[in-house]
Amino acid sequence: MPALSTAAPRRAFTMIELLIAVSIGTLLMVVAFAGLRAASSAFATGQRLSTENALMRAGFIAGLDELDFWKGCDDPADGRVALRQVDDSRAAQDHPLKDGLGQPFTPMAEVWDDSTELPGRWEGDAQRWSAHADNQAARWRGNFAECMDTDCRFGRYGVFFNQRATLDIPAYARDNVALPAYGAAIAPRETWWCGQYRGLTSVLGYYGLIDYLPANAIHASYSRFYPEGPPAGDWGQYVNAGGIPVEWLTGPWKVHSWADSNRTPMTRYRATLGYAYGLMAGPDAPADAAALAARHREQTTILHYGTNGDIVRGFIARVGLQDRLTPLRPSHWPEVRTSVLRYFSLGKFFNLCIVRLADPVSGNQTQFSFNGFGTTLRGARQQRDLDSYAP
Amino acid sequence: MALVAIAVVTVLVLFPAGIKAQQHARFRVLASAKMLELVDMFNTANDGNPSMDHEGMEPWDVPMAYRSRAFDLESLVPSHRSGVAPLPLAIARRFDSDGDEIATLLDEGAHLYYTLPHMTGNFDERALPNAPSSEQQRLVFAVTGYAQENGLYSLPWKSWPYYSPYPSPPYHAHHEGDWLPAAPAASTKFGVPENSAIELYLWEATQDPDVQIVMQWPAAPDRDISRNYGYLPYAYPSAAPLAYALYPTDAKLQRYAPTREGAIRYVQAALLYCRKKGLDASFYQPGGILTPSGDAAVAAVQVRALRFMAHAATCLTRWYDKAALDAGVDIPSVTIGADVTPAARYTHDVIVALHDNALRLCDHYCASFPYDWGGPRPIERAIMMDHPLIQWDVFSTPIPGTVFGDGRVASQWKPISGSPVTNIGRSISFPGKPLETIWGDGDNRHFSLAAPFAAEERCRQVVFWAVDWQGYEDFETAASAPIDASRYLKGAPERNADLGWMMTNHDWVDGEIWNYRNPEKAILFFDQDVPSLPTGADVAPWTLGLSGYEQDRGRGDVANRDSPPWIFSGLHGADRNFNQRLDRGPLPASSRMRASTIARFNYYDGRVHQCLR
Repeated sequence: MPALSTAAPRRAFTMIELLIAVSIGTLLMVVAFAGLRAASSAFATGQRLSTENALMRAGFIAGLDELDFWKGCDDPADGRVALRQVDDSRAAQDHPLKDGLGQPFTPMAEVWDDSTELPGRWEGDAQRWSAHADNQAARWRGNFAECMDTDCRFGRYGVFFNQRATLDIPAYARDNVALPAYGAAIAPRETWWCGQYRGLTSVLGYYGLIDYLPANAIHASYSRFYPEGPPAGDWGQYVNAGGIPVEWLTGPWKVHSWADSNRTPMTRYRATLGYAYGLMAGPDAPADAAALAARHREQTTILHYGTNGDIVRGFIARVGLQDRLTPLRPSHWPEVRTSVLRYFSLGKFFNLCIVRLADPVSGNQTQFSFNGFGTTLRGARQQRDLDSYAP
Repeated sequence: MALVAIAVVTVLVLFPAGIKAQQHARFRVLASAKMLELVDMFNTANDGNPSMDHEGMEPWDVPMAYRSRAFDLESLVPSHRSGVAPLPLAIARRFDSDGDEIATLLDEGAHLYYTLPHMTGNFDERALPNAPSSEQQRLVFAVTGYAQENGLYSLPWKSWPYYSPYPSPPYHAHHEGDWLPAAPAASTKFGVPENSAIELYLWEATQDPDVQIVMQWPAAPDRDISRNYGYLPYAYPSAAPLAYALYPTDAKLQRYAPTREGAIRYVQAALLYCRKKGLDASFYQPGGILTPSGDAAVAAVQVRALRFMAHAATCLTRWYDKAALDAGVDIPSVTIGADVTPAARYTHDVIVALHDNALRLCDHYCASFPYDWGGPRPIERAIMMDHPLIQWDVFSTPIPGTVFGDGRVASQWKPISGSPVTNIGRSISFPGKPLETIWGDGDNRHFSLAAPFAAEERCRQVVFWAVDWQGYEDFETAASAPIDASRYLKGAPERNADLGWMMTNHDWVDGEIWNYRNPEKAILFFDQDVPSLPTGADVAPWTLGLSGYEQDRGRGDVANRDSPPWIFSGLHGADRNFNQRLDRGPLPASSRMRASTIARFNYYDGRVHQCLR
C-alpha cells in the first residue's frame, strides 16, 4: 500500500489576487474603452470639423470662382441663359435699337446694330474711350446745369451732343415757358458717346451701363424732344425741353432732391448715394423677359432715405445668386450654400459673397461673408464673346 | 499594460491636436476671406466723404490733414461701412501671443481689430436681420510694419481740384458772407428773389477781377435792366437787388424771364473779357480748331475766356433758330464802362466751333498743367491729373497758430508739391486769406512721393489671430478702443462761432462720411444704464445704429454720462455680436487668453489716395 504522501501545495490564485486581477483588467478595459470612446469622439469631431472645413473651403472657392467666371449668372453649357433674354415687346414701337431691351448677358449684336438711326455699334476699343484731350468724341458735351424743367435759357446743347444723327427741334409752349423752334434736319456735332450710352442702357441695363462706362462718366444723354410726348412709333422716350431723356432726370436715376426742378445730370456716385443698382440673378428672377429687363433698370434704396427692412431684404433676395453646393450630400452632412450679390452703390462695386453652413445634426448654422475682387461684367462678356459682331 | 497606456495617452494627446489643427484650418479660410475684403475695401471703396467741410483757414481747422484721412489700411478701413472696428483696448490687453507680438503692437499705438457682425454691403443696419453666429468674429487682426508718409488727399486750405461745368458762367457759390475779402464789389454778393437770406458770391473774381464784367456790369446794378451786361442780368433779370432764381419755370418767377436782348448783352460782356485778355477774333469767333498754348499762364486765360464765350454764345440758340444763325447774327460793338466791345457775327457753325474749342483747350490745359490752378477742372471729365502730388514737408518749420473758436495752440508742417503750384488763388470758403505763403522752404529734396523706392518699403502685413474674446464677461460692456479725435466730423470756422457751435451745427450725412464717427457706431450703446442691465436684456432700443439718430454728435456736458462725448467714444460698450441682447461671457476680466497665430498676409501700401474702378 503506497504510503500516504503529502502532496506539494498547489499553486493558485487566491480570491484576493483574482479580485485584484479582475479589477485591474476591468480598469484597463474601462480605460481602454474610455480611450477608444475619446478617440472615437475626437475622431468623429475631427472628421466633422474636417468635413465642415472642406465644405467651407468649397463655399469660399465657389464664391471666388463665381466672382471670376460668372457661371452662376450665365452658362450656356448648363442651360443657364436667362440673362441673355431680350424683351422684344418694344419692337413694334420702332425701337431705334434693333430689337428691344436686353439683359446683362445679351449679345450686343442681338439688340444693337447700326442699321437704324442710332449711329454706330458698341465699340469697346480703349483708344475710342481714351480720355486724351484730342479724343473729343468720348467726351461728355452736354449742359451739366440742365435741370428737368428747363426753359433752355442757356441754349440748345442737343445740337452739340446727341444720339440722333439728324435732329428736329420743334417749338414748345407749356407751364409758362414758350420756346421757339430751332430747326429741322440738324446734324449734331457729336453722336458717338450718346449712341454708346443709349445702346449700353438698352442692351445691358443700369448695372451693366455703370460697369462698361469709364468711372468719370456723367449719366445723361441727349435725344430728340417731342413737345407733346413721344409718338407711338418712336421709341417711347420722354425728353425734357433741352433734349435729355427724363429717365436720367426724374426716373430711376433721380437724385433725392428737395426741388423737383433741380434735377440735373450727375456722376455715378451721386446717382447711387443711398441707392443701388444690382445684377438681378436671384432665385426669384422672373422668367418673363420684360419683367426681368425692368428689374435691371430699377433703383433700390438700401441706405437711409426712407428704406426699410423689407426693401433691403427684398433687394438682397433679388440680387443674391444662390448655389447649393451639395445637393446630393448624405443627409447627416452639413449643407453649404454660397450666395453672390453683385450691385453698385455709393460709387462702389460690391461683390459680396455669403457662405452659409447648416448642420442637420446639431441644428447649428453659421456663415461668413466677404467682398472680393473679380472679373468685371465686361470681362465675363468678353470671355463669352458677347460683344463682337459677326463679320 | 504599457502598450495600452501608451495607446491611450497617444490617443488623448493626438486627437485634440488634430481637432486643433482642423480649427486652425477653418480660421485660415476665414482669415483669407477677411483679407480679401480688407484689400477690396481699402482699394475700391469710395472714400470721398463729401459731406464734410474740406477747407479751413488753417490746416488744423478741418480733418483733411489728420490721421482719419491718411491713405493707410488701418485709417480708412475701420468703419461701420467697411465691417471692421478696433477691439476694446481693455480686452486686447488680455491676450498672450507668440513673441508677445500683440502686446508689442499695442504698446506702439496700434489697434487690434475684429469683424463687425454685419455684412459689409452698405446696407442700412436697421434693415438687416440679427446676425447669425459667425466664427469670423473670433478672428482678430492687426497691421504690422510702419506706415509711410502719404500724399495729401486734399490741401486743407484749398480743396483742389475745383470742378466746374464747361462751358459755364463765372464761378460763383453759396456763401453767407463770412471771410470775404475786404470791401467786395456790391454784386459779388447777391440774393435769391424773395429769399435774400441765401447769398451767393463771385469767387472767380478773386483770381481775375475782369471776371466781374462777365458776371455783372456795372458791378453796382443799374435799375434799368437794359443797361446791365453779363450773365446775371441775362439769366436772372430781376429788379434790383439782382437775384438768382432756382426755379426757372415757377410762374411767379417768370417776370424774371430772360430775353434775347439780355442774351446779346451777355455775349457782349464775354467779348469784352476776350478783348481785355488780348484774344482776337480767332478765339471769340473761331473758324476752326485752335492750337493749345504750351504756357500755363496763357492757357489758363484762354480756357477761361473760351469757357465764358462758349456759354454766352450758346445762349443765342435759345433766341435764334438755325436758319437765322446760318445767315449770321450780328453782335454790335458797345461801350461798357471805359471799354468798347468788339463786334462779332455768330453762326451755328461758329457757336459749335466755340463749344469745341472751349472743351478741347480746357482738356489740354488740365491734362498738361496739373500744378497750375488758374482754372477749375471740367466736372464732365475728371481725370487723375486733376490731383497734383502734395505731401507735408516734415523737414519744414511748422506753421504755428491757434484752434479757431477755442484758442488752444496748434501747429502743422508746411506742404510741398511735386512742382511749384502756380495761380493758387484763393479758396472758395475763405477767399480773404492769401495762400502764397503756406508752402515749405522750397527744398525739393523733401518731396518724396515721386522718389524711387524699394519694394519692401511699400510692404506691410496683416496678422490674424484666433481668440475667443467673446468669452469675457465684459465683451459687450467694455468701452470702445480709443478713437482718434479727427474721426469727429467738426465744421470749419464760422464767424462768431465757438468750438461748441462748430461741433454741433454741422450735418452728418451718414452715407457720405465713411471714415468718421466711432467705427462701432452702428452697434454702440447710447445709454449709461445699459452695462448694468441683466444678461440677455433687449438692447435694441439703446443701440445707436438702430435708433436712426445721432446721439454721438455734439460737444455736450462731460459730467453727463449720456452726453455725446461719452457716446462718440463708445464708453457704454456695444452690441458686438449684434444679437440685440446684452451678452456676458463666462470668463472674468482678470483671466488671460492665448491668441493663436492664424495667418499673415503681405499687401501693397500705396502712398497716394486711389480708388480702383
